[in-house]
Amino acid sequence: MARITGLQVSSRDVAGHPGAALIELKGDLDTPGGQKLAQEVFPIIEKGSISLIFNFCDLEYINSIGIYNLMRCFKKASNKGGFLKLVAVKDQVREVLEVVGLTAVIRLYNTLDEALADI
Amino acid sequence: MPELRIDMPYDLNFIPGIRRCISSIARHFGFNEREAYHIETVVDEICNNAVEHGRSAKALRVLLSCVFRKGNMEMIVKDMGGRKINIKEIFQRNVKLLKEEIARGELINQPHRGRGLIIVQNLVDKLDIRVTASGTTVRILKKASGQEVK
Repeated sequence: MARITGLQVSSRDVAGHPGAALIELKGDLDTPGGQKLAQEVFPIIEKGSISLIFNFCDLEYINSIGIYNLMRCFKKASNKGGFLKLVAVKDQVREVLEVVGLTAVIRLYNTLDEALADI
Repeated sequence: MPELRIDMPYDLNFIPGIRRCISSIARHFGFNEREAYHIETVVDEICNNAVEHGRSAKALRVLLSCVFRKGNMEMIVKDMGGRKINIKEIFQRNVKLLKEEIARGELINQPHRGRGLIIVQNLVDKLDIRVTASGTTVRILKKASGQEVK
Protein backbone atom coordinates (compact mmCIF):
# COMPACT_ATOMS: atom_id res chain seq x y z
CA MET A 1 0.00 0.00 0.00
CA ALA A 2 1.35 3.42 -0.93
CA ARG A 3 2.38 5.62 1.96
CA ILE A 4 0.16 8.56 2.77
CA THR A 5 1.73 11.97 2.32
CA GLY A 6 1.60 14.04 5.47
CA LEU A 7 -0.54 13.31 8.51
CA GLN A 8 -4.26 12.66 8.66
CA VAL A 9 -5.98 13.11 12.01
CA SER A 10 -9.51 12.05 12.80
CA SER A 11 -11.25 11.71 16.14
CA ARG A 12 -14.42 10.50 17.71
CA ASP A 13 -15.84 10.15 21.18
CA VAL A 14 -15.58 6.71 22.75
CA ALA A 15 -19.06 5.37 23.41
CA GLY A 16 -19.63 4.55 27.04
CA HIS A 17 -16.60 6.49 28.24
CA PRO A 18 -17.38 10.17 28.86
CA GLY A 19 -14.35 12.38 28.40
CA ALA A 20 -12.54 9.82 26.27
CA ALA A 21 -11.60 10.37 22.65
CA LEU A 22 -10.19 7.98 20.08
CA ILE A 23 -7.75 9.73 17.77
CA GLU A 24 -6.72 7.98 14.57
CA LEU A 25 -3.45 8.99 12.99
CA LYS A 26 -2.52 8.04 9.44
CA GLY A 27 0.72 8.76 7.65
CA ASP A 28 3.75 10.53 9.08
CA LEU A 29 3.98 12.24 12.46
CA ASP A 30 6.95 14.31 11.34
CA THR A 31 7.72 18.03 11.52
CA PRO A 32 4.64 19.36 9.72
CA GLY A 33 2.61 16.46 11.08
CA GLY A 34 3.59 17.28 14.64
CA GLN A 35 2.37 20.83 14.29
CA LYS A 36 -0.86 19.57 12.80
CA LEU A 37 -1.30 17.11 15.66
CA ALA A 38 -1.18 19.88 18.25
CA GLN A 39 -3.55 22.05 16.23
CA GLU A 40 -6.09 19.22 15.94
CA VAL A 41 -5.81 17.65 19.40
CA PHE A 42 -5.51 20.69 21.70
CA PRO A 43 -9.09 21.81 20.94
CA ILE A 44 -10.31 18.28 21.69
CA ILE A 45 -8.68 18.45 25.11
CA GLU A 46 -9.97 21.93 25.74
CA LYS A 47 -13.51 20.77 25.01
CA GLY A 48 -13.19 18.22 27.78
CA SER A 49 -11.91 15.02 26.21
CA ILE A 50 -8.90 14.37 28.39
CA SER A 51 -8.63 10.60 28.12
CA LEU A 52 -6.92 10.20 24.80
CA ILE A 53 -6.43 6.94 22.95
CA PHE A 54 -4.25 7.30 19.88
CA ASN A 55 -4.64 4.57 17.28
CA PHE A 56 -1.25 4.25 15.59
CA CYS A 57 -2.10 1.28 13.34
CA ASP A 58 -1.78 3.43 10.21
CA LEU A 59 1.05 5.62 11.47
CA GLU A 60 4.11 4.83 9.40
CA TYR A 61 6.66 7.27 10.71
CA ILE A 62 7.51 9.48 13.69
CA ASN A 63 10.30 11.98 14.31
CA SER A 64 11.44 14.07 17.27
CA ILE A 65 9.06 16.93 16.45
CA GLY A 66 6.18 14.49 16.27
CA ILE A 67 7.22 13.07 19.62
CA TYR A 68 7.51 16.56 21.12
CA ASN A 69 3.96 17.42 20.05
CA LEU A 70 2.67 14.06 21.27
CA MET A 71 4.21 14.84 24.65
CA ARG A 72 2.59 18.27 24.62
CA CYS A 73 -0.77 16.53 24.14
CA PHE A 74 0.05 14.17 26.99
CA LYS A 75 1.03 17.03 29.29
CA LYS A 76 -2.08 19.03 28.44
CA ALA A 77 -4.37 16.06 29.05
CA SER A 78 -2.62 14.94 32.23
CA ASN A 79 -2.73 18.46 33.66
CA LYS A 80 -6.51 18.16 33.49
CA GLY A 81 -6.46 14.73 35.11
CA GLY A 82 -6.49 12.73 31.90
CA PHE A 83 -4.16 10.30 30.21
CA LEU A 84 -2.82 9.25 26.85
CA LYS A 85 -2.56 5.71 25.52
CA LEU A 86 -1.15 4.39 22.25
CA VAL A 87 -2.61 1.47 20.33
CA ALA A 88 -1.12 -0.75 17.61
CA VAL A 89 2.25 0.97 17.41
CA LYS A 90 4.35 -0.37 14.53
CA ASP A 91 7.74 -1.82 15.47
CA GLN A 92 9.78 0.88 13.76
CA VAL A 93 7.80 3.64 15.50
CA ARG A 94 8.06 1.88 18.84
CA GLU A 95 11.82 1.67 18.48
CA VAL A 96 12.08 5.47 18.18
CA LEU A 97 9.74 5.98 21.14
CA GLU A 98 11.94 3.65 23.20
CA VAL A 99 15.08 5.63 22.35
CA VAL A 100 13.65 8.78 23.93
CA GLY A 101 12.19 6.91 26.91
CA LEU A 102 8.57 7.50 26.05
CA THR A 103 7.52 3.85 26.30
CA ALA A 104 8.27 4.04 30.02
CA VAL A 105 5.67 6.77 30.61
CA ILE A 106 2.97 6.17 28.00
CA ARG A 107 1.07 2.88 27.99
CA LEU A 108 1.11 0.97 24.74
CA TYR A 109 -1.57 -1.57 23.80
CA ASN A 110 -1.76 -4.05 20.96
CA THR A 111 -5.45 -3.54 20.29
CA LEU A 112 -8.10 -0.93 20.87
CA ASP A 113 -10.15 -3.39 22.94
CA GLU A 114 -7.25 -3.82 25.35
CA ALA A 115 -6.85 -0.05 25.69
CA LEU A 116 -10.58 0.47 26.31
CA ALA A 117 -10.70 -2.35 28.85
CA ASP A 118 -8.06 -0.51 30.81
CA ILE A 119 -9.89 2.80 31.13
CA MET B 1 32.26 6.63 -6.25
CA PRO B 2 28.53 6.00 -5.77
CA GLU B 3 27.69 9.36 -4.29
CA LEU B 4 24.34 11.07 -4.17
CA ARG B 5 24.44 14.83 -3.74
CA ILE B 6 21.46 16.96 -2.88
CA ASP B 7 21.57 20.72 -2.83
CA MET B 8 18.42 21.82 -1.06
CA PRO B 9 16.91 25.13 0.00
CA TYR B 10 16.18 26.03 3.61
CA ASP B 11 12.65 24.68 3.31
CA LEU B 12 11.23 21.91 5.49
CA ASN B 13 8.79 20.89 2.74
CA PHE B 14 11.60 19.21 0.82
CA ILE B 15 12.62 16.90 3.62
CA PRO B 16 9.90 14.21 3.50
CA GLY B 17 10.68 13.47 -0.14
CA ILE B 18 14.43 13.51 0.42
CA ARG B 19 14.32 11.17 3.38
CA ARG B 20 12.09 8.68 1.54
CA CYS B 21 14.32 8.84 -1.52
CA ILE B 22 17.51 8.07 0.40
CA SER B 23 15.80 5.34 2.41
CA SER B 24 14.57 3.74 -0.78
CA ILE B 25 18.05 3.86 -2.32
CA ALA B 26 19.56 2.29 0.80
CA ARG B 27 17.47 -0.85 0.25
CA HIS B 28 19.48 -1.47 -2.93
CA PHE B 29 22.76 -1.35 -1.03
CA GLY B 30 22.25 -4.14 1.47
CA PHE B 31 20.14 -2.41 4.11
CA ASN B 32 17.07 -4.31 5.32
CA GLU B 33 13.67 -2.71 5.95
CA ARG B 34 14.41 -1.82 9.56
CA GLU B 35 17.76 -0.28 8.66
CA ALA B 36 16.26 1.63 5.74
CA TYR B 37 13.74 3.07 8.17
CA HIS B 38 16.58 4.07 10.48
CA ILE B 39 18.18 5.87 7.55
CA GLU B 40 14.94 7.68 6.78
CA THR B 41 14.81 8.88 10.38
CA VAL B 42 18.46 9.92 10.42
CA VAL B 43 18.13 11.92 7.20
CA ASP B 44 14.99 13.59 8.52
CA GLU B 45 16.43 14.60 11.89
CA ILE B 46 19.72 15.92 10.54
CA CYS B 47 18.13 17.84 7.68
CA ASN B 48 15.51 19.32 10.00
CA ASN B 49 18.29 20.63 12.23
CA ALA B 50 20.16 22.08 9.28
CA VAL B 51 17.08 23.86 7.92
CA GLU B 52 15.90 25.09 11.29
CA HIS B 53 19.18 26.07 12.92
CA GLY B 54 21.52 26.57 10.00
CA ARG B 55 19.69 29.40 8.36
CA SER B 56 21.26 32.83 8.10
CA ALA B 57 21.34 35.76 5.72
CA LYS B 58 24.42 34.33 4.03
CA ALA B 59 23.36 30.69 4.05
CA LEU B 60 21.58 29.85 0.85
CA ARG B 61 21.53 26.08 0.68
CA VAL B 62 21.93 22.90 2.67
CA LEU B 63 24.33 20.42 1.11
CA LEU B 64 23.79 16.71 1.56
CA SER B 65 26.11 14.00 0.35
CA CYS B 66 25.47 10.26 0.65
CA VAL B 67 28.07 7.72 -0.35
CA PHE B 68 26.69 4.21 -0.69
CA ARG B 69 28.69 1.05 -0.78
CA LYS B 70 27.31 -2.43 -0.30
CA GLY B 71 26.15 -2.54 3.31
CA ASN B 72 27.57 0.85 4.16
CA MET B 73 26.36 4.44 3.98
CA GLU B 74 28.16 7.61 4.88
CA MET B 75 26.18 10.85 4.89
CA ILE B 76 27.36 14.39 5.36
CA VAL B 77 25.00 17.33 5.82
CA LYS B 78 26.43 20.84 5.78
CA ASP B 79 24.80 24.12 6.46
CA MET B 80 26.50 27.46 6.10
CA GLY B 81 24.60 29.23 8.82
CA GLY B 82 27.54 30.20 10.97
CA ARG B 83 27.82 29.43 14.63
CA LYS B 84 24.77 31.17 16.04
CA ILE B 85 23.48 27.90 17.44
CA ASN B 86 25.99 25.27 18.49
CA ILE B 87 24.02 22.08 18.02
CA LYS B 88 26.92 19.98 19.26
CA GLU B 89 26.78 21.62 22.67
CA ILE B 90 22.99 21.47 22.72
CA PHE B 91 23.08 17.78 21.78
CA GLN B 92 25.55 16.94 24.56
CA ARG B 93 23.47 18.85 27.07
CA ASN B 94 20.26 17.16 25.94
CA VAL B 95 21.77 13.68 26.23
CA LYS B 96 22.52 14.42 29.88
CA LEU B 97 19.12 16.06 30.42
CA LEU B 98 17.20 13.12 28.96
CA LYS B 99 19.01 10.63 31.18
CA GLU B 100 18.20 12.75 34.23
CA GLU B 101 14.55 13.14 33.23
CA ILE B 102 14.15 9.40 32.72
CA ALA B 103 15.85 8.67 36.04
CA ARG B 104 13.58 11.12 37.90
CA GLY B 105 10.45 10.01 36.06
CA GLU B 106 9.91 13.55 34.80
CA LEU B 107 9.87 12.95 31.09
CA ILE B 108 6.46 14.49 30.58
CA ASN B 109 6.68 17.35 33.06
CA GLN B 110 8.43 19.70 30.69
CA PRO B 111 8.04 18.57 27.10
CA HIS B 112 10.90 20.07 25.20
CA ARG B 113 12.64 19.62 21.93
CA GLY B 114 16.20 18.62 21.23
CA ARG B 115 15.83 14.88 20.93
CA GLY B 116 16.57 14.56 17.24
CA LEU B 117 20.30 13.93 17.48
CA ILE B 118 19.78 11.59 20.42
CA ILE B 119 17.62 9.49 18.11
CA VAL B 120 20.26 9.71 15.38
CA GLN B 121 23.03 8.64 17.73
CA ASN B 122 21.09 5.50 18.62
CA LEU B 123 20.44 4.53 15.02
CA VAL B 124 23.89 4.95 13.46
CA ASP B 125 27.33 3.47 13.97
CA LYS B 126 29.15 6.80 14.06
CA LEU B 127 28.02 10.39 14.53
CA ASP B 128 30.30 13.39 14.20
CA ILE B 129 29.28 17.02 14.58
CA ARG B 130 31.60 19.89 13.69
CA VAL B 131 30.62 23.47 14.35
CA THR B 132 32.76 26.20 12.84
CA ALA B 133 32.37 29.88 12.16
CA SER B 134 31.02 29.12 8.70
CA GLY B 135 28.48 26.53 9.75
CA THR B 136 27.78 23.02 10.95
CA THR B 137 28.70 19.70 9.39
CA VAL B 138 27.09 16.50 10.59
CA ARG B 139 28.56 13.21 9.43
CA ILE B 140 27.14 9.77 10.05
CA LEU B 141 28.16 6.26 9.18
CA LYS B 142 25.67 3.43 9.08
CA LYS B 143 26.48 -0.19 8.41
CA ALA B 144 24.04 -2.85 7.36
CA SER B 145 23.75 -5.94 9.50
CA GLY B 146 23.45 -8.21 6.49
CA GLN B 147 20.38 -9.83 8.02
CA GLU B 148 16.96 -9.90 6.47
CA VAL B 149 14.18 -8.84 8.81
CA LYS B 150 11.22 -11.25 8.75
